[in-house]
Amino acid sequence: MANLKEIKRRIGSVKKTKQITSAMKLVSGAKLSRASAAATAAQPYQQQLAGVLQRVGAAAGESVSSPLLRARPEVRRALIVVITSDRGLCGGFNNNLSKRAQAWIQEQRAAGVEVELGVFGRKANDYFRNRHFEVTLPVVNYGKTDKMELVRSLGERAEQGFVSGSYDAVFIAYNRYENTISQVPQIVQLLPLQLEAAESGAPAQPSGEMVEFEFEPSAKELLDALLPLYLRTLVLQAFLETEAGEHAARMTAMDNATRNASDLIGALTLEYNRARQAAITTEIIEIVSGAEALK
Amino acid sequence: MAELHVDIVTPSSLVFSGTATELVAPLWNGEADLLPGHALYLSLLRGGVLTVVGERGSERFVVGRGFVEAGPERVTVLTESCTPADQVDKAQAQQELKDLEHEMLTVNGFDSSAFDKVEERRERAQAVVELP
Repeated sequence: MANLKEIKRRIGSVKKTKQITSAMKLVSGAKLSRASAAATAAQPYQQQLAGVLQRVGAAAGESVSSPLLRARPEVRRALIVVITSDRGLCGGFNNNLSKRAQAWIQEQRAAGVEVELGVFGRKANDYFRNRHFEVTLPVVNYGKTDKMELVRSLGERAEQGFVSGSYDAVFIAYNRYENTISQVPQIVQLLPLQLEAAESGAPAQPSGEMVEFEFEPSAKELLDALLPLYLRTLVLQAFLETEAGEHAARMTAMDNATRNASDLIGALTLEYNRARQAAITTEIIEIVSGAEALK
Repeated sequence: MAELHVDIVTPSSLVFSGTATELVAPLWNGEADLLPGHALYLSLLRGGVLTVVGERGSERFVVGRGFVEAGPERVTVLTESCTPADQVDKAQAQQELKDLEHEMLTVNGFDSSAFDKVEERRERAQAVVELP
């Protein structure tokens, strides 16, 4: 009989877990639609900016000499910023990225590059702290902070560090949001900026021939003002995709958990019924044999 | 009458998209009035008030720094901050302006980028305060 009670208790607890996971799935679903809407809303700006950059870049032509574009002949010091979420329960979302970044850092260090590490999100912070990495720029619990504020501070830091020569290159590691079931960890070079990347993302020119634009002030000055803005959109994109990816990953993870819970409940119910049946059978045998003995 | 298609785009959304007959934008070297049929033109936007004049009256926006790309039929405004003029908080801007003016006194005048950052925020606050 004790066994019966035990199984019943377990069924109850799994049912509660299932309730929680299915609620989390619904919440993540709602948050995901908001996050992916935000990512979509940011796209026109990115495209327009990339378009403007392309036109200005083409006009500035050979004279492009902004410090943000200049690649150093040898990369000796680099900064990598890993962007993960603050909260877990989202499958391998954070861990895959952290592992990827760790492998990258070790590879670079083996090649003689001094790598400084910055992290956004509690998960990456914990990951690297546990492995005794020195984290120079830890930002945790950033979910409540305004995104543009984060983007601005990170962009500024990267820009200053790069221009002043503290870093020869700046990288950013985040999960690219492909769709609800696939987020791909990737490491992207932020600085020196690569204009080709901007051009491929730019909308095609309406007319085939090169359009003559009038620039005010000069194309060079415009470019100087544009590049930090472009840098920020790259960072913003990373944050937006991380947020959308986090919710998508959590939704998938919680969906799996809910399904596992259902399976477990089914198996436990079967076991419970068997045990109950066995108990009844035992009881009947006891009664019958008791009655037989009295005859 | 010729019309101009105006898009005001920020990183978070498309703030305004529609037709207008005239656009008054605060450019780096002063206010500019952009009309349909403008030559292809790319310029810097400074913090201030941007007015979109349409057939049904005009709409005002407080914008931060950014870019203006003009052509004969369309104008695109790219900026990191844009608020419709009727949604700004004047009292808050007044306070901010005061704080920023204080900050300006303390910031290192030789560090032009630090000064510029404060100036950028001040432009915006000033624009809000000066709204009619």
